[in-house]
Formats: sequence, structure tokens, C-alpha cells
Amino acid sequence: MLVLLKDEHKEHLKFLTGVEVGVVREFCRISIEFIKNGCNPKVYQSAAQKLEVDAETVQYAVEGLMYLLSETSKLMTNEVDFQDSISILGFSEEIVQVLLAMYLENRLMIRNVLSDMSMDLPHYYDLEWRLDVQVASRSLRHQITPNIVLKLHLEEDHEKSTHILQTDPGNLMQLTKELEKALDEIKSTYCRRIVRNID
Amino acid sequence: MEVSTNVLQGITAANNNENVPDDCFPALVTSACQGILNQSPHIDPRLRKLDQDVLKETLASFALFISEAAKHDTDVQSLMSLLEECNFSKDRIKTFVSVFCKNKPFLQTLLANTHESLPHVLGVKWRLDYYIKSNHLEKTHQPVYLLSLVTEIPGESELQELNFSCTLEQLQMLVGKLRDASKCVERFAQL
Repeated sequence: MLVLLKDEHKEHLKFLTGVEVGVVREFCRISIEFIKNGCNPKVYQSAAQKLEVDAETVQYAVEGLMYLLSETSKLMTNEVDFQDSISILGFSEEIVQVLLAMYLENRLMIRNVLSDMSMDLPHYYDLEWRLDVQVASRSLRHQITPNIVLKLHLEEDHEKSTHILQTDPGNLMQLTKELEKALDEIKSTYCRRIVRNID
Repeated sequence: MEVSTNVLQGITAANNNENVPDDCFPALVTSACQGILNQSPHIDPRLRKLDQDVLKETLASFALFISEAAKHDTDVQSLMSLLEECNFSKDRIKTFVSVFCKNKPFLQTLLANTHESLPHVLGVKWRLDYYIKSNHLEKTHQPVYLLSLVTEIPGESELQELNFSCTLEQLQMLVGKLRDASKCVERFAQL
């Protein structure tokens, strides 16, 4: 899928057409670093001094690259579409190859960053279980009641929570069977057909 | 099984034919059992002719005596000797034992359920979604299971639900662990 760049965005990236490949490579490295760990404005200043341009120009170019890389990663753009998308910017073939290599190398990492930003539901993290037999209580001595104590660990936005539950053998078997059915469902002809059509 | 002096006094009071005539005794023991099981005062109409103070004392004492006997699973022989010590007639002892034995399984079921417990899992509801894209990411294309564990907390009338999601791999891990637990329970049951 092609990425359509806005005029403003094209303007910001234009700066990179007039510099050496080594500089473009360095800008790519900075953009990837910023996507991974957040921006550090001090870098703009020192790069601007070296290149003898405004700090703003450097900032726009880096931000332009970050936008280009995150949009193409978001859409999972293929190689041909990536090259076609940036062809309008007038980069030399060498620079296009640098950008493409940088995109392909970091696409999965960028998708992970984007996936971390996506809406997160409380999800399964771990389950611990224990088999107990209740032998007495305040209200009844001489019992033999099997209990399965479950400690369910969930995670949401990198924060973990635990839930302590219990169940009896009958319900445990039922629970297991029901979830096995849920697992089987994804392999059903119907689900496979849907998945094939979406993919 | 230990019974307090107050309870023994209450029971002994029921042994007096003037307080509780022979024809009222079975109704008294039955009412004491029903009182525990129904958790509401159920007074047999035949007991209305008794003195209200005596009725209160004897009914409460028998209810305590019966619940203690059910709680400790006291054997019939010990119950009979306890009642003999309170000078109950053979007929009354027989009546008590027969009513008690008839109600014992229900009483013990009630007592077994009368305790604090962790939320008890009764079942699971599940839904299978296919995650296509979000505002941040396209072509995600992965199955997502939304699970809802239905739990019961003793003493609360409404069932609770614990909701969470699983990817396919996470659900496979969860089911693997539940299978291990089920197998462990099955092996234990065969011992």
C-alpha cells in the first residue's frame, strides 16, 4: 500500500536530498532511536551545528523520517510500494536504498512499538494452581472436599494484577473442556475461510 | 462433642412430660432440624399449645445440640448415651435418633457450605475475535479470545465475572495448565 505524503511533510524531508549518504544514515539512526526511546532535543542542536543549518531544519527532517517509517510500518508497506512512495521526494538511488534497508530492518521493531501504543485489554499472563483437600471448617469437621486453588496473573498496560480463585473438580473439567473447544474453533473450516479472506 | 450446661438444661427441660407431652416431642425435634435447614423459624402447629418460654428454650437447645452433633458427625451410640444421661425414655431417644439421622445429610451439606471461600469458578464464557487493525496498527491479523470466568462468592446473591483476553498462544498455555491440574485431580481421585 502506497503512503501519500503531505506537502508539508515533503518539504521537511527535502533537506535530506541535498546531503551525503552518511548524513542520511545518521538521521535514520537518530529517527529509529527516537521511535524506540522517545525524542532527545539536544541531538538536534549538535547535529545542526555540525551541518551548519538551523536546529529546526534538523528537527523537521528527523520528525519527517520518523513519520515516514511509522506510517509505512503501520501499513506494512512492501518494498516496491515503499520505493514508489518516496520516489516523489527526488532522492538519489543510493539514499533510497539506505532508507529501504533501514525500513526493512526496523519494521518489526516499529510495529512492536505501535502495538504497545494500541488499546490494551487485561490479558492472560500466567496461571498457578494447587490441589487442596478441605478436611475441616468451623462449621463442619470430618470433611473431604477437594478444592483447586487458582492464582491467575493478568497484565494490562505493563501492569500486572493477580486474582485468587478456586474451583471444584467437576467445574475444572468443564472449564478445561470448554476452553479446548474454544481453541479448536480457530481451526474450524468456517474460521479458516474467514481468516483466508481477510488475509 | 462437647455440649454446654445451658444446652443440657434446655434439653432436659424437654424431657418433662408436663413441659413437652409425648405427642409433641417428635414435632419439637423436627422443628429444630427444620429451623436450621430453612434458616427461618418454622413452628409446628402442634407446638402452639406449649408454654412459649419453654418452647423457645427447648427449641433453641435442640437446634444447638443437633447442629453440634452434625458438625462433629457424632455417632448414634454417643448421642444415645448423652440423652440417657439426661434421663430420656427409650421411645424419646429412638424418636430423636430417627429424626436426626433422617436430616443429618442435609444438615451436613448446609454446614459444608457455611464457610468463607475464595470466589468459586462455576464456568467460562468465551468469544473468538479476529483482530484486523487499530488506529495505530494495520494488518494485525491475529485471533483474540475474550474470556469471562463466572464466579460465585459465598453470601453474595449475584454471580461475578472476571474478564480478560488471550492470544492463541496464551490460551494454549492456559489450557495446558488447566489440563495438568485436571490430570492431577483425576490421578488423585483414583488413589
